[in-house]
Amino acid sequence: MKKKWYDVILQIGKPYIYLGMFIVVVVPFLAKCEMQTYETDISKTMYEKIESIYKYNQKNADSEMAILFAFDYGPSTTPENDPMVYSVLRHIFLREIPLLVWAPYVPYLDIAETRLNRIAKEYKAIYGKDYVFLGLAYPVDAYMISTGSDFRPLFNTDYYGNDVYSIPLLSKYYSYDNLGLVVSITSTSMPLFWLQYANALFDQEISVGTTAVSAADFYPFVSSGQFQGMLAGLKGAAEYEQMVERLENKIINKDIKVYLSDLYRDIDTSQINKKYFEPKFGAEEIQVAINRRSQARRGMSSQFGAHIYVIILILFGNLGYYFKNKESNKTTVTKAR
Amino acid sequence: MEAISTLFWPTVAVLLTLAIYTFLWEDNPIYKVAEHIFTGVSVGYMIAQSWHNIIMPKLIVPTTNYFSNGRYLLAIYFIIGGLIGLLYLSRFSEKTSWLSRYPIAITVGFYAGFKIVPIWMTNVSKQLNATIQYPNGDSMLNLKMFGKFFDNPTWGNFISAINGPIIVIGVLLVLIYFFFSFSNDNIVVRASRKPALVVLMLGFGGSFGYTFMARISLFIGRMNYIFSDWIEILTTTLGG
Repeated sequence: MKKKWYDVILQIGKPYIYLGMFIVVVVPFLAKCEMQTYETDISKTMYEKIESIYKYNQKNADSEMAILFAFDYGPSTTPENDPMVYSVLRHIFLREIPLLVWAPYVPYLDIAETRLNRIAKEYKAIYGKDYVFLGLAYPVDAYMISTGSDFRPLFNTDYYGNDVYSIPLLSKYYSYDNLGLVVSITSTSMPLFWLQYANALFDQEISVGTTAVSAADFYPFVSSGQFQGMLAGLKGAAEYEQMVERLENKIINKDIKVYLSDLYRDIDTSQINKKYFEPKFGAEEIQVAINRRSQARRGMSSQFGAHIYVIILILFGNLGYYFKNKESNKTTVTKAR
Repeated sequence: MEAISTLFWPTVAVLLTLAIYTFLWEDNPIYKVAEHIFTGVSVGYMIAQSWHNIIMPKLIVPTTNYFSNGRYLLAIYFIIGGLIGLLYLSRFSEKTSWLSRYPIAITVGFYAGFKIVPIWMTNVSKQLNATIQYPNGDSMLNLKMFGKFFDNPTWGNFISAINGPIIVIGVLLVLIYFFFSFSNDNIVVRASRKPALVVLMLGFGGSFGYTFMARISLFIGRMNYIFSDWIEILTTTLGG
């Protein structure tokens, strides 16, 4: 008996469906497609919040506000969280806002250190003066609560073993009093802890970048104004990337390749502590840095393909079932007669 | 030699990624090897990192420092904390496993007591407030927004007008749907059943859409590594 079209559709093997997914995801990468995306209010709110800290610092040079940046994610969600981290850190370094960083769990530490120093290097940021990596804040509840007064006794040293009382930045910033914002980039429920401790008890403002899976859970807190904006999944990252790219072009006003090549060329690098990053850029490193500037937007073109592909699969699958059921009902009625 | 060392580990990462994806065809020994390597490396890494980042800097180093500085009370405080923590290990023996209840009781007791107020403020009072008014203080059921829409019928004004009422009505419908204190044949319960399901389904649909995006993002991440980062390293290294 000749197979009907819906039988063919309903019998497509899983490996072929995955192969289709592979093709729609990979082709945009090979074609180097980049997608412009519309910017949502929740992403703009976060961007504007950081801009407002910059404006405040411009007007109040003697009582500048810092940002506490929490790396609340691990290796399993780097594809979603990394682009957020890169663009938010770029924004902070471009605006020269003092930055404190910590990570609440052991597997997050290496991720935090490499990403932080990688971006700090692109803006000639000086460790201890412009930014500090405090290291592990575990158990995080204790650190969140102690930041209400002074977190330094809990840390003793930063990630690199420097005494926290000897770091210039930490003589000024050690509690919520001087923090304009806490940014939590996360794949966990950590933003709720931030809300419960930092926001509810100390009125600290919090912005969140989260994986798409958790985004739906956090929307009520954005609508209620408890979060100062949110980056939701790769789409949120792409939006922020776009906003920061505009800012970077405005401030640096140079081709990024030229900017990075020249960054450490004419300065005395012997004064820079090589413990945190090597003050030079190789050709390969520059190319990777350029690629990272559009990582989320390139991902969004693959997302677009994948979404269209799945919509087509759902449509054809349902149509196939509909016609198959219709046919089998017709056959049953004919046999009954 | 340098080219090989630059290329070697990224290539291992690519091969292991592909090994994991072979599971999509069917379970196979290549997948199993990659899975075991992943588990072993993760556990080994966690143990080493925990030792270097928790036990040493947060227990052993401060305790020895306090002893050598003559601050014995602080040192004893750390030792007591460490000993209570060690009681977790008593679970390895049936005879002593009851001792592990002490650190558990301390942890649960602290969080149960400390978290009541913050959780109430975060998840109940502020959320309840957000169902009544916008963060700027305007009422959710602000009829002036409808007036604004009729004066200037744009899509943005329409969304602003219906947003608040949808949230208020949606929350009430879902609350009624999950209210089991009187019989389900009550007219209010019956009338709200279908609209409440629509609201719930919209919520679940939103979550599903985001979950799909998240899963695809992870796949895109690996493909990005292979087709952008690794290819870049490969061409740069082999190209000289």
